[in-house]
Amino acid sequence: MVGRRTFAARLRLALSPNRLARRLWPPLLFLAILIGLWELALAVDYVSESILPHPKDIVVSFAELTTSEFVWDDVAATLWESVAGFALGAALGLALAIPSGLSPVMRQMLNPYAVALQVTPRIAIAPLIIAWAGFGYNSKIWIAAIIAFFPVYVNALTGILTVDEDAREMFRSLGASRWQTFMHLMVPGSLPVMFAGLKTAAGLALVGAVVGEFISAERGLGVLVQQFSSQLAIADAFAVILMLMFLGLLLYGTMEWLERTTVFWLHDARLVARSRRRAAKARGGRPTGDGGVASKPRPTLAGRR
Amino acid sequence: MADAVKQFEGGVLAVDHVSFEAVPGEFVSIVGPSGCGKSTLLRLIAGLIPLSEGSISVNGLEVTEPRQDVALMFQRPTLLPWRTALQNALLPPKLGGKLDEAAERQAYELLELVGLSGFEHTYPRHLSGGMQQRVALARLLMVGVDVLLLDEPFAAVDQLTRERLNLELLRVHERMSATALLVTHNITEAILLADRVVVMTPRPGRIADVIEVPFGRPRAQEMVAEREFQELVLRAYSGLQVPLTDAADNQQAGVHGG
Amino acid sequence: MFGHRPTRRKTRVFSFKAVSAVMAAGVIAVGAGCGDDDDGGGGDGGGGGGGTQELVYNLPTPPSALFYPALVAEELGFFEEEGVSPKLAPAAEEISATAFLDNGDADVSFADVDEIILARSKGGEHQAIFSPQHTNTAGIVVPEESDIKDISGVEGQTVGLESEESTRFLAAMLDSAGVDPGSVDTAVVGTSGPLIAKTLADGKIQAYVGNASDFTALSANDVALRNITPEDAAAIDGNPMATLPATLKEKREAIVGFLRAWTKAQYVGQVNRDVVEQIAREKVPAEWRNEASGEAALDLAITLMEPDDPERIGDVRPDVWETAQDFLVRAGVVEENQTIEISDALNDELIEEINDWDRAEVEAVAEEYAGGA
Repeated sequence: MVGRRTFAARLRLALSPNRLARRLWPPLLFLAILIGLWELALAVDYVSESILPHPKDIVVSFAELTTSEFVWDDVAATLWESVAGFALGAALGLALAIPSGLSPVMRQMLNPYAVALQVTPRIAIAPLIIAWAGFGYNSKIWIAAIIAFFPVYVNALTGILTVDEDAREMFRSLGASRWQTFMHLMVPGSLPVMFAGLKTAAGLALVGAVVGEFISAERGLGVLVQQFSSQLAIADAFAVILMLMFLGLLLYGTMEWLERTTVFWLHDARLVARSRRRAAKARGGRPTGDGGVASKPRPTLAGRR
Repeated sequence: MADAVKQFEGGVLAVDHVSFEAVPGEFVSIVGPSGCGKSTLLRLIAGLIPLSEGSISVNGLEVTEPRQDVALMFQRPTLLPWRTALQNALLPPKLGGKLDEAAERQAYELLELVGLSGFEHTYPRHLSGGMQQRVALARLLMVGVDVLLLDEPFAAVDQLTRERLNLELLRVHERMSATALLVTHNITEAILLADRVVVMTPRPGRIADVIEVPFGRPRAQEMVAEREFQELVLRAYSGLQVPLTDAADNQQAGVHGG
Repeated sequence: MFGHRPTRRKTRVFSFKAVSAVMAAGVIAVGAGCGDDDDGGGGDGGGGGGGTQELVYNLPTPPSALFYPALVAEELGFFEEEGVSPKLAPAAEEISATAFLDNGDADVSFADVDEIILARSKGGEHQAIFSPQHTNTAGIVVPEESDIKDISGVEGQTVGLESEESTRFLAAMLDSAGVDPGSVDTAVVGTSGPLIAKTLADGKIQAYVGNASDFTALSANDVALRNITPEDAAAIDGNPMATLPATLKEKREAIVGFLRAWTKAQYVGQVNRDVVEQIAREKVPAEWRNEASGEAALDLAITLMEPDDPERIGDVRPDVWETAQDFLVRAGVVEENQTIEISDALNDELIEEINDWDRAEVEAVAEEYAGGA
């Protein structure tokens, strides 16, 4: 049903009032109910205003903070810590998953430690990391990396281990070298599972960065939350939490987009687009025996089974 | 293959002293009940598993590992989902390092040969099972093979498609001068396609009978109805040591209208 | 021409790309993570251009109005004037201020009196060379409308604590007032303003032991409090600055420069509150979101930093420290056999030098800043 629509046309369609309304009203309705309950709790004094501010106050704080100048330094700090930590943790995860996946001996060597690292409460290790990595961004980056490491490691490992056996045999029958099998079969084949791990890790890296900031930092959204909290500027503190949430969504969304682009073969729309692009390219200049430019016949439904 | 024996670990004797020689360009079907070692045989010839005893040679050269002149087609098409039909077909030259214009042209031609003109840039997700197998076939043919090994390649496809694919297979076989070995459960199919049919016993696999198929080419589905054909079918069944009553049931299941 | 060959390659390159991109990013991150270590790892004279020396200092908080001299000295150019480029190593929860010095993570560190005493009693050579706060930052408060008028009134009540460590501080205060610490129940409430306010209001605790900055934050937010900290507890210096003798020798010039700039800035706070407020608003805007809190915090900071003797800002006073040690011994924070020779722990050789500047000149600089900026 995805016809030959241009990007602009598709965008217009996606933003059309009907479509938009249909997609947005469920979550908006839920939000409205949530806010209703919230106000109710405040009204009957089930929870005190000094602990849970009115949603309106939070929104106002949010607007004020985002339009102020200083908050963006903190946003940048936390963002950098999360992204760098994620990249580092993911790189380590991959670096350890590949040998583990390819060699049972390596796996037996590395796996126990990876698991041990995962189950050790990171808060306990954090001071050690700070003592080792110094007080700048590094300690936060490393804490974020350690938290982001495991999902990437375990997913990449799974991806490599669960490679399609038939495809493997097919590669062998074609005389592929180990390296070729790795690059052209294992790597692409494990991407879907790996990306699932990357998406999880992206969110966790943010958590790690903020945890690191709670323990020791000069600036960052975690520091802001603490500062506001100690001044009893609770609405501001909540507003910063809201900002953190958006930051998390941004990171997750980026990974989603990256996944859709890289693991394109799981998404119908992408596949169709790619097919079309390739066909167009092929059409654009393929010589035939008689010297002219052949036009490839359009695929028809009749030919499909 | 001379006196081939294949014993798996655990003492399972899969292939027991099988000797056979195929004429170049010939189409041979191998039939037998499950577990008689037919697939194992193919894998042995393809060099994917080692022999326990005896020897197999192709083109005068003994088979010890996967070779360029022998190609094996599996039941599952195993296309790489991230490559288009064309790219999948081009996998052999890509792995062999000989990806060039000539190879590309050949891929186009082969895809046309198997009836997939116009679908070169489609991804496996959008191809039906039968179409995928055809891509796999094209991929197979990209390698300049002398021996084509087919392990129930169309088993996963419905009956009608299967018949069509079989006939296409014959067409392809004619165009090339390769020797084809087809493993199948389906006796009718085996006889219809082949010049000779090898009938194997249940495990341990031994050759029970080799049936010459006298029909001319090109074959047509209607030949199945002829009495001579049915006689060959019965002969095959007896070779399989399957009792006649069961055989009749099998026949009803395996043959359509005829 | 076969235009599609390059596109065909794209599939493989894509997989390559995904893997390499992640790895490249990882390498960069590792590079950033490992290379940059001297972010807090003790600079060594090589920082900055010709003349400025680097000094790494540790504060208990991120940049804050509570330690306004750091902000003011920077803004009014005092650090630059003295040829010092200071670098802050912010505090970490489980790492004591003296540990910063031990690990070489900081050259000088603003520590607690008991930290320094304990470090020395374990054989360390830490010395307090400068003490900007001549009052304690820790104390005990009750709600304004409470019946409790002083520390003795706490007998038989429940007291909220900032943390487990505060227990001993409370015990010492009770002891000096003649109250049996066993008669008092305690509960760790933490430092969350709203929670403290709530538990006080609900009557779950009748008093709270914590930090002055938390008290002022609460007061500023309409939680009226009365401070009932006994005098001998209140007299202990808040955050004296410590260093190791080796560092003092090696970086004497930088330390002196740093402290001269600091004392100038501290003085500005005492005579020109407006300028400090101006600078604080600009440098730590987050603290001014709640106006009342911001004002209260600044007032507190200035009060805490009021020197005993204006000519000797940051003086380390042996008699005060002796009293402090006695108090800590009674509190059980310091064991009897852990007491140290106070005179060894204090080093006031720098005090004169760092106070040796023209008061009027500094006032003028502040005025100018207020007028201009």
